[in-house]
Amino acid sequence: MPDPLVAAEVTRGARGTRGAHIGLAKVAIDRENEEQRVVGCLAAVFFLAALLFAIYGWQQGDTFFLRLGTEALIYAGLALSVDLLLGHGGLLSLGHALFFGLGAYVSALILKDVSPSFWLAIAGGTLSGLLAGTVGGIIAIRARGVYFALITFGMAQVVAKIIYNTQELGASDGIIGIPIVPISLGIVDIRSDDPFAFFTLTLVIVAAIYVLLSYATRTPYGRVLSAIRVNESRLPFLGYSPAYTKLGAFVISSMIAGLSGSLYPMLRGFVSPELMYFEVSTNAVIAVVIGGAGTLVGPLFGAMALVFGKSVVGSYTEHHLIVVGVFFMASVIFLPQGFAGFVKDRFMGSQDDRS
Amino acid sequence: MNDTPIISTQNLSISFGGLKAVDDVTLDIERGRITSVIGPNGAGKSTLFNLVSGALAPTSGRIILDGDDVTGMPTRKLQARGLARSFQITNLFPGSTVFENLRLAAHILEPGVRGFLPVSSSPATLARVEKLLSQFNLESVAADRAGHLSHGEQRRLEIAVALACEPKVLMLDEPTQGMSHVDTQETSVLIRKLGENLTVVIVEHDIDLVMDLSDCVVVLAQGRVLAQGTPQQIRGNADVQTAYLGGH
Repeated sequence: MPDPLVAAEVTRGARGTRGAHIGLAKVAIDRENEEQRVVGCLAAVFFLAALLFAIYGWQQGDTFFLRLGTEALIYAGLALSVDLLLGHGGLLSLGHALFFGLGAYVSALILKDVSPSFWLAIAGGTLSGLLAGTVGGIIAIRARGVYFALITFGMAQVVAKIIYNTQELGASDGIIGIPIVPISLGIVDIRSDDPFAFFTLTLVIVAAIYVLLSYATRTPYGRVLSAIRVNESRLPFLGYSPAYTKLGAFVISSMIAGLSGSLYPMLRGFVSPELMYFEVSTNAVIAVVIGGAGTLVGPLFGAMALVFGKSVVGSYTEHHLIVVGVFFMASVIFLPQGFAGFVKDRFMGSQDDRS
Repeated sequence: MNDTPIISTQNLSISFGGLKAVDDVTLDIERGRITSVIGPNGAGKSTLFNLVSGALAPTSGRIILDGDDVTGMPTRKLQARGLARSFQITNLFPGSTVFENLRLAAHILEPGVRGFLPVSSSPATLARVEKLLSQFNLESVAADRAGHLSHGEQRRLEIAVALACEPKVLMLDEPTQGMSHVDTQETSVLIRKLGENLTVVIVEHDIDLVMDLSDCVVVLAQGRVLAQGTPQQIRGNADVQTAYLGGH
C-alpha cells in the first residue's frame, strides 16, 4: 500500500495559498449533489406541470390537448432513450424510430390478434426492443461517430422499407382498428380511450423511465458510459470495457424506445410505417438537443416543445418543418447546452466562470 | 518475496510496415524495483511500453506477466491482472472533476454488484479517492475540472488515476514530461515512495531523473536492448556513452 507520508513530503506549492484547506473530496461531492438537486427540481416542475395540465384538461372535458399531450409524452419516452445514448454515451443514433416503430407494431399485433391486454402489449413492445436492440447494437457499436449514426440510420431505413412492403402488416396503410384497451391497475380500471386516465398512465410510465435512467446514470456503470463520450480509448487502461458498456446502453435504450412505441397504438388506434421513418428518429434527437443532452430532464421538455410547437404552427401553415428547423438552429446557437443545461448553469453558476 | 521477474519479454518484436520499431527484445523487469527505459528518440521506448501494456500486439515474441503468458491479451484483462499505466500526453476526462476522474478509476476494484448501486454509496471507493487526493496533493483542486488544472497537476493526476486500481506494476510513460524543475523534483520524490511498495516501470527522457530514481536502467537503441544494469553500470558503459549519453 502506498504510504500516506508521501503527502507530507510533497511540498505544498502555490496552491497552498489559495485559501483554507478544503476537506478532501467534500467540495466535489457537494457540487455533484447540487447538480442533482437542480435537475431534480426541473423534473419535479415537469411532472407537476404535466399533472396540473391533465387535471385542467379533465375539468374542461378536453380530448384534443390531452391526447396531444399523451403523444408528446410517448415521444418524450423515445427522447429519453436517445438521450441515454447521445447525452451520456456520446452515441448519435439516427435510427431509434426502428425500435419505437417495432414496439408499436408488436403492440398493435398483440392487441388486435392476440388479446387486448395492456400488460402483454407493453411487455411485447419492450421485448421486441430488447431483441432488436441486441442484434442492432452488436452491429452498430463496432462503428464510431458518424459511422455509428449512419449504421443506425441504415438499419431503420431497411426495416421501415420491409414493413412498408409487407402486405401482411398492412403495407403502406399500416394496421388500423386497434381495439380500445381496458387497463386494470389493481385499484382502478381505466380504458385507453379515456384521455385523462391514459395521459396520467403514460405520465407515470415516463416518470418511471426517467427515474430508472437517472438512477442508472448515477451508478458506476453510468459513469463509465459518460466517460466513453469523453475519452473512450482510456477506459480499457482503467479496466473497463467500452464495447460491453455501449452494448448494454444500446439494449436498454432500445427497450425504452420499444416500450414507448408500444403505447402509441393504444392512443391513436393505428400504426403506420411512418413511425419508423427518419423524421421520428431525428425528432427525438432534436428534442434531446434543444432540451439539453445528457440531462435526461431536458429531453422531456424538448419533446413537449416539439410536439406542441408543431401542432400549433401546423394549424397556421403546412410548412411547419421550416419553423421547427429554424427553432432548432436558434436553440443550438443561443442555448448550446439546451434548455436544461442553461437552467443548470443559471442556478449553479457555470464552473468555467469560477477560479 | 518471489524472485521471479514480474514481467519478462522474450524475443519481442513489432514491425510497422518495413520498420522494426521493437526488434528482438528479451528483458526481465524485477519485482518491487524501479526500472527505467531510456533511449534516443525513435529507439522504441514507447512502442515497447505499448506492447507490454497491451495497447499493441507484437508481431512475434512473448510477454510473461507474473508467470503467465499474456501475449496479445487485451488491455482490460492485463489491468485486471494488476498492470496499470499512465500516458505521456495527459489522457484523462477533462470535463470531469479531479474527484470524478479518480472515482471512476477507483471503482474498478468494487465487486460487480456495486456497479448497479449509486456511485455515492461506496465508502471504500471514497476512502481510496481521498487517500489519492492527499497523496498527490490534489485536495485543493478536487472539485475543479481536470482540464482546468495546471500542467504539473494534470501530470500528477495522470499518475494518481493509474494508481487508483492498486496495481502490482505501475508503468509511467514520461511522467515528468513538460514539468517545471520544481514539479519534477516533487514527482521524483513521489515515484520513489511508490517504488517502495510496487514495481514501477518508467519511460523517461530526463537522464538525471532516471539515474537518480532507478534501481535498474534499460537502454534501447533502434528497437534493441543496448544495455541493462544499475545506473552506475549504465554510466560506465561505453556503448551507451556513444549511442546516447552525450557521446557524438
